[in-house]
Amino acid sequence: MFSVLWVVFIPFIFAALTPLIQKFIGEDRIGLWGVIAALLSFGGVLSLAGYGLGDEPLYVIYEWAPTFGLTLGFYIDGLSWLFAFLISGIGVLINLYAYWYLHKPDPFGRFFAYLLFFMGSMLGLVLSSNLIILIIFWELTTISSFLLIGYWSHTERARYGAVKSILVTSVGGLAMIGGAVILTVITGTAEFPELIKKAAFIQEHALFFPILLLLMLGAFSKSAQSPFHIWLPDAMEAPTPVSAFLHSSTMVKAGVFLIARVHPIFSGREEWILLIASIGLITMVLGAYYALRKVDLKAILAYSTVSQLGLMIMALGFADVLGAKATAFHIMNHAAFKGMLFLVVGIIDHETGTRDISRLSGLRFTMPKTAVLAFIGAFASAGIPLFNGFLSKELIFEAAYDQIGVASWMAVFPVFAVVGSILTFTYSMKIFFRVFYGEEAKELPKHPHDPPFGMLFSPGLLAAVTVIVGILPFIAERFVNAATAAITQQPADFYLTIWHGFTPALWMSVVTVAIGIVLYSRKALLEVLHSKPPFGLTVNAMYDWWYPNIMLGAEKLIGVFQSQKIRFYFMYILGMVVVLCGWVLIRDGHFRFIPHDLMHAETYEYLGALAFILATIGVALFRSRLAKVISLGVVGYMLCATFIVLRAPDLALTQLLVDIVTVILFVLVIYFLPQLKEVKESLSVKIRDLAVAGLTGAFVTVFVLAVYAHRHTTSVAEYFLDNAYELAGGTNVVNVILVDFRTFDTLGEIIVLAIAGLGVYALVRMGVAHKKKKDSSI
Amino acid sequence: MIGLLAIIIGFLVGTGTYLILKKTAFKVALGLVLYGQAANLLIITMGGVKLGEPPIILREAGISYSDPLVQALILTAIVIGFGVTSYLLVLVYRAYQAHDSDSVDLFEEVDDK
Repeated sequence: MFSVLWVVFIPFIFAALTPLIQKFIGEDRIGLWGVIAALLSFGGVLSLAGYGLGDEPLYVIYEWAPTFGLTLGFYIDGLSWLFAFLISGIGVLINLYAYWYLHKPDPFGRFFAYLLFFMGSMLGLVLSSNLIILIIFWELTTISSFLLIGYWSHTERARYGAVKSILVTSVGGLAMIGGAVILTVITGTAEFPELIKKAAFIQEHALFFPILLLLMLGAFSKSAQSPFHIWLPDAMEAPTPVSAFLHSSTMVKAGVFLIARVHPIFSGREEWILLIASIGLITMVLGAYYALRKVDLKAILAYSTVSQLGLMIMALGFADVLGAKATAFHIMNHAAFKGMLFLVVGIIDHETGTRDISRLSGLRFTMPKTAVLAFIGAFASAGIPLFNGFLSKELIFEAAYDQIGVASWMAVFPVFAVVGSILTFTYSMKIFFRVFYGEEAKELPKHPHDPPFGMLFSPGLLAAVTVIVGILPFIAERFVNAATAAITQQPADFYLTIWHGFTPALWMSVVTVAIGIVLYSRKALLEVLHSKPPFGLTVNAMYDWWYPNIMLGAEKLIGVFQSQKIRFYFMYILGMVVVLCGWVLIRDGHFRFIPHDLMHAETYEYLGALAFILATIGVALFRSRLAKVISLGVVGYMLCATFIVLRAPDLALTQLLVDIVTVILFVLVIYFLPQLKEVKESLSVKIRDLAVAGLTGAFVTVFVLAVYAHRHTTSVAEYFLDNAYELAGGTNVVNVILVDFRTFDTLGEIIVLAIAGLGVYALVRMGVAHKKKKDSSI
Repeated sequence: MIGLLAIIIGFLVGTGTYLILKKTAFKVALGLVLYGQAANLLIITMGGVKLGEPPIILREAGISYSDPLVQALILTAIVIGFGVTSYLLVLVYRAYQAHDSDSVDLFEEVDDK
């Protein structure tokens, strides 16, 4: 199906074209380009509705790099289609909103390019049928999120938030790659439909829990679950459309999506419930508690998102149909009301110049339309009937209550679900009543008024959805059923209604609202919550300690490895050669030698070798430079003698000549170069150098023996020996090779020598010129 | 025999390494010469040790010769090694003229700026 590629790649293509289009239509209107891209993508998603809402999922595979077995597969079922629908649909609204929200001198083009880049990555993430491809898109969303959080890069907080988000989510991403690799290795596939078929095998496997844990670390860090939640509040430095899009309705739900996607593969064992439902529960309560303590509207919404994500993950952790259904419904509802609340906060920030809840009040007089939207959002978030949040929250209550039947200790879930919901109710009321009721606020940075229609349109539409679904929930039935069927791999046929009778879930809602009202109206109780020490902040403190220290450590490490001293680099290279090659020699059993051949030599050869070695050491040991050079000369002569012993008369002759000239050259240098005062080396430096030198020398000795014992191939030398006389008419085969068979090599050698000679000449002449200049300047 | 050669090569490389790690450019040059000689010896052992007569064809049957190819390679290497050594020595001399020092660190600092 072409439309799948269309859906995923249209945003990428449009993002790439943004700079070009900006030239034509102007920076002011580039937002429309984003809207068009999102609309096209949304249209593509709608054209796939038949698969997303029907019974038969669409599974397409494109060859990517067949030789490596790489394919690009897409899988459209109820779950992935629901996400794609939300991403592209809300994407349209966000692009529209951002068109009015941004103002000069922010670079518009960059913003929309990043936003489309994110949208494409997110669509790819949810639609891909392959775990590995999913991870690639997953990391792309991390990168685009980083770019968007850091959009106002001139502010310190934006940079801090961007770095924090990418570090925390990448840690989880890395763990996830590990889990995906293990899973792929043990099953031989990374395609979700195949993995689902092998669910029983995977659940029996000894590595079941490591795989689950690693994958879940990725999901938890992306969906800001405790203790990884720390990045999300700081990510709120992003422009508000980004917060609404990435950090409440779509990207942070990637973790929820992953858990739902692997639900049919992993759920069924107790580890699933223990790990996922517990983390979800903890996060839900902690998030709601922090949200209540905050005064910045965006911070409240950030922690509220953390808490709501925890709620969804908890419900998925129950591993039953009701939990899956509740989650699917809550994903939709939360995307609508929380996205809308963010946009409303964006409006408040935009029109009043502040988000501080303690400075804002009485806005209902000046911003009546915004007040209506905020009312809908806050009440949906609080879980009041007739708003969509109530319906899905009650489903989650029901799922939590059912857990008591599974095991009695699991009663903690319904109890703490109510506790979290009470806190949620309270902060939701705070958002609405503190900001819009009470005395009309004076001394705001700007004079508040309702925003232009463009900024009201997107939250208005989401508010309409919130209310319509809240009153007529059957509209959402097909979406929820399709997604539930995809999560549980069982046909789902539910009805969504407002009234279920006097169920335990209803009583839980009643308790929530009743205690919530008491809590909100009794200032004293609120004060108690506010005055408690922020114990959970230690995670942030850990990050703040860890980040600069890891940077410092990295700098120190770089200082060690990039010391700007060639001899240190040289030492590292030698060390690596010795360690790596030595290890391979030992590991593969290559270190062997031919014993009978080893030390068999004539007495004079032994004596010569001794002289050779002594002369060699002398080069290093003698103090006087002249003695060093003489020692070097002796080494040269001994080499010459070795060549004779090894039946290489030409080499011996050449070595003799070169040795003489080399010694003369060195003596000349000594003559021209005065003995300079040397810096005394400390003993430790000497020992270190000796150790490196000794190890290298020992390694080379072993290496020579190993190579000698392994000479298996026949040398091409036979050819030269056979043909030297017939083809070239020479008897000295070495000379024939040099001047007949390999003439060009010899030509190259001559050229090298000529260049070296020219270089020497030029350097000496330059030296003279320099000297003259120096003299004349005096 | 190969055992002796291997030990000699080891000492050449070890001493060469020790000298190259020094700060004085003069000593580094000495070390590089030793490295070159070690490499030449290493190459010749690759062709086998004392396999036969020197590779000068006597046009008689049944005579085995030592490997001429490695010898041709080393011949080139000796000459080029000499070229490099001479260039290096002049460079040391020239650096001293310019900076009144023969420390290797000097080259690095100049390189940086």
